[in-house]
Amino acid sequence: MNLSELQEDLLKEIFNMGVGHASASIAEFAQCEVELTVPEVRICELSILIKNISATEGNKLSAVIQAYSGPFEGTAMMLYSEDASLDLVRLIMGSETPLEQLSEMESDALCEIGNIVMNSCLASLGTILEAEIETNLPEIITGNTCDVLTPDGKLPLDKQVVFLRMGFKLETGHLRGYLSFILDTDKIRVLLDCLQRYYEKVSA
Amino acid sequence: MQLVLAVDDSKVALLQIKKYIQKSYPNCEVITVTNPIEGIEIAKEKQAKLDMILLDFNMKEMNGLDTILQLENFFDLSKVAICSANTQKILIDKITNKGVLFIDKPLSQEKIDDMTASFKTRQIKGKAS
Repeated sequence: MNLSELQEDLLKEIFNMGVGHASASIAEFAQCEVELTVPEVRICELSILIKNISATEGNKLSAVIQAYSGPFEGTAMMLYSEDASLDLVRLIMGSETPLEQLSEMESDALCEIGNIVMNSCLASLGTILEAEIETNLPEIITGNTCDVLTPDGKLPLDKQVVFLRMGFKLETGHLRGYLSFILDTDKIRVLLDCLQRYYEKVSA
Repeated sequence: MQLVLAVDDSKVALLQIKKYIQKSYPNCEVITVTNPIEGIEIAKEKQAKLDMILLDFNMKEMNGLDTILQLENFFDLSKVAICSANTQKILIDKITNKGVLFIDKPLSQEKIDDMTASFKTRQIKGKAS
């Protein structure tokens, strides 16, 4: 599967808008500026994606994952390096919180952050594309890249996926991660139709 | 409104900007570029002929704020706006403290019309003072 230049431009632009809005949520709880990278779009086999992410991010990943459905469906995820997760929790719990308490609250807090950020991103996409996107409850997955990117073994490794990614980094430099969407190429048709309608609307 | 420069790495966003501006100002020429470095060169060349510059924020070669820092050496920043979905308060403050307008994406005809009206008011105020 290939995307046309226009489809790629549209995907990047709406994702950029979604993550842009989500970055305001991150900045609000982190109380500092969040730097964003420009969006990337890749279409490849899931196995290749896993290999590439392992090569750049290491084989251990932590992610808050949220499946979404509606006119188009897929998996949204906020990935971060495992050692950064306590920093992320400390940001919302406050730096005076004892380490023990932080560890206890870690998964709850991470789910909550992921939920706010991904919902903010998806809500923005829904508004732009005039579509109602339903989200499932977020869950935390920690493990090797393959475990994280194939939750519940939903997608076979030889599956072609569209991978959208935007990195974020806190100004303080303590935390970096990225927001990404993995879309099954079999189910991307509806999204491409929504993008086409959006394009027709903005270019009419 | 006769000449506008729009800089955005998305061609779709540029198309939108051009459409909205020309709907309200049919005779306005809108120069569109996807690279901010090229945008700075055009701004240098056109200078005071430009009625307005619209910039995206998140661009590969240079972000919108760094582009502003280059533009301020030779261009009146009260004629510049940043259009972005990156609505972090800290960032918006940095932009508006430079005297640059901030418009949140997605864009609409109403937002572009409000922005051009605001530029006109600024120019009148500028001339009066």
